[in-house]
Amino acid sequence: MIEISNISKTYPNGVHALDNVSLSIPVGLYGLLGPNGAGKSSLMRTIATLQEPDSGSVLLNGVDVIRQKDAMRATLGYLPQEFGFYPTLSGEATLDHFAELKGIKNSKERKDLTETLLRQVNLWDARKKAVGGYSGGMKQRLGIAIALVGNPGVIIVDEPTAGLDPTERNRFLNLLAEAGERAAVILSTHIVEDVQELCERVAIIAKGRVVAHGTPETVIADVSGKLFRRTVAKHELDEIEKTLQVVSKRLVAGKPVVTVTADECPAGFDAVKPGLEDAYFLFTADGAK
Amino acid sequence: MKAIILFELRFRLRQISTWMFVLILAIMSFCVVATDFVQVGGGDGPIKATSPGMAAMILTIIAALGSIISAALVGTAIQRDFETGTHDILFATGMRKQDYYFGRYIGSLLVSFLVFMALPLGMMIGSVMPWVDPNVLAPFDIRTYLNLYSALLVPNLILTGALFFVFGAASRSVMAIYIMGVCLFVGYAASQTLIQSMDNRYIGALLDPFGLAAMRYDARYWTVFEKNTRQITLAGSLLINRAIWMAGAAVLLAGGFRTFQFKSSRAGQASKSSKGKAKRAANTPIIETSLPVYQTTPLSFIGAMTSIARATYSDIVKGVTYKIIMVAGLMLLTINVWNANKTFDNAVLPVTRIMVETGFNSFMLFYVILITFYAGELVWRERGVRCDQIMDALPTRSSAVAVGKFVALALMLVTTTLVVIAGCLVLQILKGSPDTNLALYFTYGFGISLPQLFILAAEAIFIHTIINQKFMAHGIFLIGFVLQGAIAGIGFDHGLYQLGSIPQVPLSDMNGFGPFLLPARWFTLYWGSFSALLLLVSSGIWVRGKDTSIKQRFLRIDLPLAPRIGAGLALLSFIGSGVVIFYNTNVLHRYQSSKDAVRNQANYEKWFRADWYKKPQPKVVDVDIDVTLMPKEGKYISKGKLVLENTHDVAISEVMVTHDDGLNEVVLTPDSPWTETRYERNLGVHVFRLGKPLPAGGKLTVNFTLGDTRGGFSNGQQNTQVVENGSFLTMPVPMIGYNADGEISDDAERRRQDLKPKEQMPQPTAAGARDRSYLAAESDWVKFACTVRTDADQIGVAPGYLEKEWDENGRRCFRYVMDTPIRYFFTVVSARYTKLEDTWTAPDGRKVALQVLYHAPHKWNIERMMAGMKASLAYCEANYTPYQYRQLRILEFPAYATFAQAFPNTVPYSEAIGFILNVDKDRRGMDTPYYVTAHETAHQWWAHQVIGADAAGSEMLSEALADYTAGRILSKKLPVAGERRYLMQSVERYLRGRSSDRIGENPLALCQHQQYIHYSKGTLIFTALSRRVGEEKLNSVLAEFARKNALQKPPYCTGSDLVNLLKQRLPEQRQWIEDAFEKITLTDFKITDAAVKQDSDGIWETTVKLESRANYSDAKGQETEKAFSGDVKIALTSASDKTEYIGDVIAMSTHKLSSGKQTLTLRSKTKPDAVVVDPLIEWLGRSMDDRVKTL
Repeated sequence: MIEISNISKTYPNGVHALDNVSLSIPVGLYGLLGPNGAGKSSLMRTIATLQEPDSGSVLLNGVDVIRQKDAMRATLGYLPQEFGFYPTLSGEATLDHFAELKGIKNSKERKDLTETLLRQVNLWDARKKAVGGYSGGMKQRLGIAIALVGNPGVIIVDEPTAGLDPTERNRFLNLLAEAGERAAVILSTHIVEDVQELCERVAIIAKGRVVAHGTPETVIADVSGKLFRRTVAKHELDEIEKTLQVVSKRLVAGKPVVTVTADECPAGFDAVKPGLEDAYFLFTADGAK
Repeated sequence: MKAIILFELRFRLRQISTWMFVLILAIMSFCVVATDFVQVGGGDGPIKATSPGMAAMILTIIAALGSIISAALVGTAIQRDFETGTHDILFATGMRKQDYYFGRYIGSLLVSFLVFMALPLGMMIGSVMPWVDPNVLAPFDIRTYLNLYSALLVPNLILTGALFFVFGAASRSVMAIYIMGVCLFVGYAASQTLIQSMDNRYIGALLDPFGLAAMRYDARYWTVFEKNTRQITLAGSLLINRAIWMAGAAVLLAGGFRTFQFKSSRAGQASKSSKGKAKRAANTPIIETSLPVYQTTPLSFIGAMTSIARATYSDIVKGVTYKIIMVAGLMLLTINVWNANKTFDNAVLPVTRIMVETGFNSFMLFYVILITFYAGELVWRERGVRCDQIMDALPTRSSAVAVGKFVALALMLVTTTLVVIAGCLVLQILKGSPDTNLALYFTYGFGISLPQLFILAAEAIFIHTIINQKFMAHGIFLIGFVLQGAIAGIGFDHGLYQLGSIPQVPLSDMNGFGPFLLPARWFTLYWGSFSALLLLVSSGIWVRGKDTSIKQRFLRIDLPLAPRIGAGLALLSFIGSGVVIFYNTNVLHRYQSSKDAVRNQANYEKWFRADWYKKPQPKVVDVDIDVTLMPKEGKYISKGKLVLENTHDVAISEVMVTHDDGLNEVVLTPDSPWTETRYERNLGVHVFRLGKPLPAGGKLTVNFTLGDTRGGFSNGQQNTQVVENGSFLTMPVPMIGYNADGEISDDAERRRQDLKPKEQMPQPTAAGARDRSYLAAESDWVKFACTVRTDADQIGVAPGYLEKEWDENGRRCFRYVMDTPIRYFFTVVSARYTKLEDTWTAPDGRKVALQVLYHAPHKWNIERMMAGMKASLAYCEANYTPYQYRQLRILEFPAYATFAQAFPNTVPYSEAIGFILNVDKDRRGMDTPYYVTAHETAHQWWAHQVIGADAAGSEMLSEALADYTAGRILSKKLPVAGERRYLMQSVERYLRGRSSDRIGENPLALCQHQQYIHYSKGTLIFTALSRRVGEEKLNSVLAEFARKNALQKPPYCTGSDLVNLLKQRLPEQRQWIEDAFEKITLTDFKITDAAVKQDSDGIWETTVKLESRANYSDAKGQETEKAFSGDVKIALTSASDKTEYIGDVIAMSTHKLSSGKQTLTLRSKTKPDAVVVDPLIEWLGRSMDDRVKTL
């Protein structure tokens, strides 16, 4: 559905935000994983027509949306990483306003849609309240409602679950999953779980480049047999870091557990059956291929 | 606390913005003295920019404008911690609340002290720049700067800082801080309005938070000399003002400190509420519904625009900022409209015209604030609340967003206008509206005011779009205003390039929008088209997404077809209306910038004075004119015949003829040939060489046609001589010879034009001084007849008696003939008049026909005018000489001017001064229409019978005597307190006038165009003399003078002649007359102590200790003491709330006073409340307040 070919973007301050990125995004949920500053937001803004790449193309069903931005905008639901709303307007009026701008002209239809969406994101009770008084989570939910207006064919959501409590997050992921049945949903996050639970496809981005993409299974398969793990004493850490390529360290019951990558199992380590998180660490670790 | 203060200092001094503030302030004050470019608070007069008072005023005003800097420095000192979230960390450090709170305040305040030091420094540096003309500046004196810094700037910073700081800390919002700034400004404007109405002067002085009103109050009677040299000191009302406001600042800070929450309250609240919500959410089961699917098609341009406009509009008007600005604006409007226009102390009736003009003028500033602020807010709204990315990814056209926002801004202005109208209406009704005219409110508000505001709004949106940097755009918008004024000041003032400038539309009840409507419409179309173009360009380059550089935005300019067509049409209409305007202002009319106009005025003097001033010219002896007025088109043609006679001993070979320089039809045909040797079209000056010189006693007849039939409009002020209803056309005839009144009188302007200081009027003793009169110099007494042709529904009037009235070619024609000689000084008036008629019969049975011709709705005071004419005729006939005419008429004319003027048997009288006054409401019995009418009627004697020579002091003969006469007539209706009140106004005007005189004060008998002398001092001196010798006795001398000099031919009489006659006839007053008329004498009495007690018989005994002293003053106000001795009346009164109003007199006695201290005892049957020395101002002095003491 969306074909991204060779897009690059360098900001005026010299940062290479995107470096020859190519992706193919079909209908369904597509996860973008990557550390802060990897270029996820730049990529999503580019797809959302908010910034133009220096080179490369973005095709939506064969239409070049860098030239014809309205082709994308007409079918897009976009929720950026940070956003807010007019503080004096009520939640209902805000949603109605955006619904109208998205092209639902009939006010009766807008009213029905607004009601359905507000109930779905659990804001019905707070619909008359000015948005200025909303909490972070409520704002987030309102944003999602707006993104879902108008039966979008493309939904782009940038780290949407960050401010949500577990119940809200659950509710939200359900909505996304439902939308993903008929739309291309691009979801950026650094919560690996979200992707693992929902996404048929995933791309890992680091320093502006796509370092891995495919189904979660194929991405995991890429790293299987390369990761090894052991529990170490604190004084051993330095030594291990000098000799082996450490992918991640974490404390388990107060003791460091180190994961390393190597072609063969180093002495004292056990082979790991990797998950998506391990793949993420490996692909985004310093010096990774 | 020290650590916090030091931190604040270091923090601020390291910031670039702090030094930017220093630079901005220094440059502004530097420019005020070192360039002509920036002018603050008038300037340019005799009071020099670096004189103590002026420097203090200029720098305080700049500092007040710079309040925003104080807000940025002090207001944000605590608010900043909350904004950045450091407050939690700071509060956790265990420091004490008072250390934090006051430490931040003092620290940031010290920084603002340092920053504002740039003002005096900038001015000091500017004043010593080599190119600065030292004449313009007072000598350098470091005390000037130290005083103004310590007495005005520093206290003001403490006060404004406290306001900004307390509210910033309480609200934690930058907006609240700026709104405080607005309120401060309103307080300032309010105190300015209060101080202007006399009763509340002192309170107004105390109310001014910046202390300027107090400073001016203390210095209100200082002479020019004192103002240039005397330092302002912390004393008098300034001291009290400062003390009040410093106490206010302390209370504010203390209150702020008490209520300041020294803990992170917000964080606590937030976590609580989110917890509650989480619970609710957890309880709600997840509903598995699928979303309804609706057809979405991107909105049309109109649809999207409407939607944006609706949402944005409600966003603005629901916001608290809008409400606060409106409240502040309405407060100012209420104060101004409630106190609208007082004339001579009588309040104006709240007619709609005044309500509309005052209401919209006083709200103008708030319109500009609203536009400036909201244009920025709207352009930045989505980015401000961070829904820009959501918005930008919508399928909505940028052009629809941009236009929608403009429409929202326009709707907000419409709402605001409705509120302003409603506010004015309510006030009008509360004040007792005599003529509620809803149509005028709406046509003015919506037809004249709003279009200009829309234009401004579109400009502001354009600037914000193209600059894309909020504060810089605000700055550029405001600098644009200043620059526009500045380039107009240096001579570029054509409306075609003065961005968005629409000519003003002054209102008149008689004449509606008058000739001002047409240019306002064309300029509105012109700048409206331009603004539409700007708006469409803005919408094409609207910021969308992250690619915001101006180049990128122009590269992908996004405009659908409809806006493109709109832009094309706007461009066409811009060019088209520009062509029409240019045709009117530069082809039909002659465009000259204000600079050019002054240069022309200078040229008149440079080219002609040397050869023509006082050169013998033939005098007009007979004039017969036929004036056709075309009121609807604003055109006229004046044809006629002028008979000139050589009354000199020498033959005349060259004649200088002058007329209005705006005329397009000029034909001058003599009966004996002449050749035109020079014609300065821009000045309207011709020089003709006579074919054969005109011998002494010879006559020359000139037939002429003078006309202004251009129609259309000019760039600047419109000509209001001939208008649709209320034409007032003075002297549509050729003038002979050079007229010194046409010279530039302002000394600073003369320096700029390389002219020497203006020549004074000749002394009465100078050779030839008596050859000419000061009114209509190149004529003596003329025979006059005039035909007026006007519209069929109007009455046309000229001096003389109506001989014939007829209709001709759809016009109504009137023939007036005067049977006695008059000055060569007349006017033609025409309007749709209603008549009030009456007759006054002289004791000898002669009848005088009286008329008041007025605009039908203005019926309120016409009877008072009629009574004024009768009373004045009776007084003047009884005391002076017989009235020389058989008729006297008052003719109302539109409010474009605010005076009444006496022509022979004809008195044009502005609708703004007498007709709409609310006389009944005045508790002191002041009756301005009666008084003004009596004054103008008295001019039929003092100007139209007795006219002085063209020499110093002659104006005393007409103005002082007319005003003295009117004052005597008025006083017959007033109690002592009312008369004192009336006289005190003259005292006030005299003292204020002498304290800002440009040429230096002259003694009364030698006054020169100085209104404060020939009106105010004149009336006081003649009134005092009448009290000393008796009114009848004085009037008998005046009558003798009138009989001797009435209708005289050269040599003309002078002011000194009258003084000499007074000395002869009143020998016992010789010394007093000399001091009053020939010197500047000021006598002051100071009551140092007064006490009252009751004696055993029940009589009240008041003991008064007082000091007397008298001074002679020179022209610049430098004084030398003289011995004083004289009879002075002292009154005991029932109440005395003010110096101007003393209450009822209980007892009055005369005492012999002399220089030095004296103690007196006064007796009365009832208990007095106050002692008043010299209640009716027989001794003119400076310190009127010292003469009154409350017991």
